[in-house]
Amino acid sequence: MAKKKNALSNKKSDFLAKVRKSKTTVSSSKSETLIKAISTENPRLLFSMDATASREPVWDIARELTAAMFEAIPGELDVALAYHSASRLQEVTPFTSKASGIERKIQQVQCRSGITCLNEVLDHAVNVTRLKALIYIGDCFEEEEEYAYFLAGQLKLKGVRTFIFHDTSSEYGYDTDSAGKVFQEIAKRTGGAMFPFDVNSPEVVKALLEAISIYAGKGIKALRDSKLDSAQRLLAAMDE
Amino acid sequence: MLWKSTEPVTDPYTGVEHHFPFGDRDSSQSVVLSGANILDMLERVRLEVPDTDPPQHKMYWRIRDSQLLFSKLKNREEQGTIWKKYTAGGTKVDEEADFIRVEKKSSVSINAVVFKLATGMTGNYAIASRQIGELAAHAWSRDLIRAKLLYDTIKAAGGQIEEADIPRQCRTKSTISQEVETAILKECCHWLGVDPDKKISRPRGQPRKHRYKEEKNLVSGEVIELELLDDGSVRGRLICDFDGLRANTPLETLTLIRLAELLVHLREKELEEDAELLSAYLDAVDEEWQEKVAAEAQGTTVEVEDPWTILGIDRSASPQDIKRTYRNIMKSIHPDTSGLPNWISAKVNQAYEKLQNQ
Repeated sequence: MAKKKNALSNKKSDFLAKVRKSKTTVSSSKSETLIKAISTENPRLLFSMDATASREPVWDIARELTAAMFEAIPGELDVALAYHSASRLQEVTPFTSKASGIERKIQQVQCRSGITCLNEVLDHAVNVTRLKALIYIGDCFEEEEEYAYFLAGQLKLKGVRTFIFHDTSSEYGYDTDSAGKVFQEIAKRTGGAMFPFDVNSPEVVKALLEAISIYAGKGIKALRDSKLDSAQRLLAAMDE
Repeated sequence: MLWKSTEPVTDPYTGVEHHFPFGDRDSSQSVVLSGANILDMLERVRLEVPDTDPPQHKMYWRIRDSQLLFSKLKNREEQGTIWKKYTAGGTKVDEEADFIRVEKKSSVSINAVVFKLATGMTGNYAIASRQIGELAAHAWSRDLIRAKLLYDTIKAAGGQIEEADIPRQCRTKSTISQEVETAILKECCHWLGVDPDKKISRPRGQPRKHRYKEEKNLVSGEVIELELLDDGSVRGRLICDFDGLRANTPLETLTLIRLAELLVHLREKELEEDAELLSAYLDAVDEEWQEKVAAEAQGTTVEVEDPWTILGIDRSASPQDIKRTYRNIMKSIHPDTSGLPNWISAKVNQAYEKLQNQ
């Protein structure tokens, strides 16, 4: 009898030992699951600009200013540069957290005449993952407005806000006024904002970029909590 | 093929009668004939459709009035009797129906890169040129058959036919040069082991063509679909059953925490596109969702830190009072002098900044 009981208990302990060895996984607790919902990857910002001939007269100043704007971008944000000239989207650089490479790239960009290609830039932005903000510097708009608005809707759905700096310094009768209306509408539809790209007050533009990068890097709440004047100006322009 | 006139054609400018083509066409010796070729006898015009009100216009093909082939008197010096653009020539081979078949020299112009490819594949300029010549000759004879068919179709229809009624095989697909280039490039593809007929799904640099005018503005992955409504608000739903939720479940019926779980499960299934859309949706719904989810995960609620309580002052305090209190506190808790940890002074600093902003 005693032997039999012993055998039974042996069986039980064997079984438990097997259980201990087996690879069962405990279903992860709710909190462990939830913590994964918070993304740890860097958010992205796409910096795009118009490099067509109409921007030639003030190009050197614009280039310096654009490069200076990059200094304001913090490290926890991945940035890429895109520009269009000669009637097509010339180049989109890879996303990087180091601004220096992009600053060099800006120095190399040359103006080439052609119609604007903002729609191509917007279409590209729709397909970029983790993109939080799109910045565009341009003066004219010579494309199909309806398509631009459609793409703006797509960007809104993807949660990409578009910030446009409108360069009104172009000479020789370029139609910057009607472009301004289109830019304003695109910015509004994506929940972004439009500002003048004033070559005479680079500090203002730079401060605004700083505010945009705060938004792109840390979200709208960080922008609200920021004590920068430009952050408050940006929020006001975004209707937030 | 040159057009043959059965009856003499009267020159509208001089009244002289002519037989097309010019030259001694009955001679058995090789004589160069000149006249209008088969395609010159056809013209494509935009005409009003009869019995329509308001008048509608359509494209028609018709046989050209042979009198139109003559050039104006003042141009005769340089162009000759018939319009230069309608003049063709060649040595007679034989006669058939309305036409005389002639033989003539011609040239074809192709892209320099294509020519280099052909040279590279054959290894020799001469061989490449001869092959290009053969390709072009084949293309021309195919084109001639097409032209003859087009002429016959138009003639059978009584000299005029609507463009839409022309059979497919009578229409041009490409020029002779393009046909030669295509043949060489296809050959080159086979040479490189690439299938030339493989469809390129998205040409580089070309924007996708959205049929955005008819469509609603929406984006969708495999599970999540977001739609932009006319008032600018966003609505989302599930396309299929996922994570215990039924298809068509509107996202607005789910709690924040449930959405966050859904996001994790989408990421686990590597549905990046859907995860992207859902996190964009979460951003739109609640800008503080990340903090709230983090708090839920740690089992705490978001701690509301009141700067007034931290500094221990009354809400009625003046800016000067706040500053004085802040300085007094900092004197006693500064990490350099007090030995207390940094976070204590950081918290006080934060509270002070917050009040300053107000």
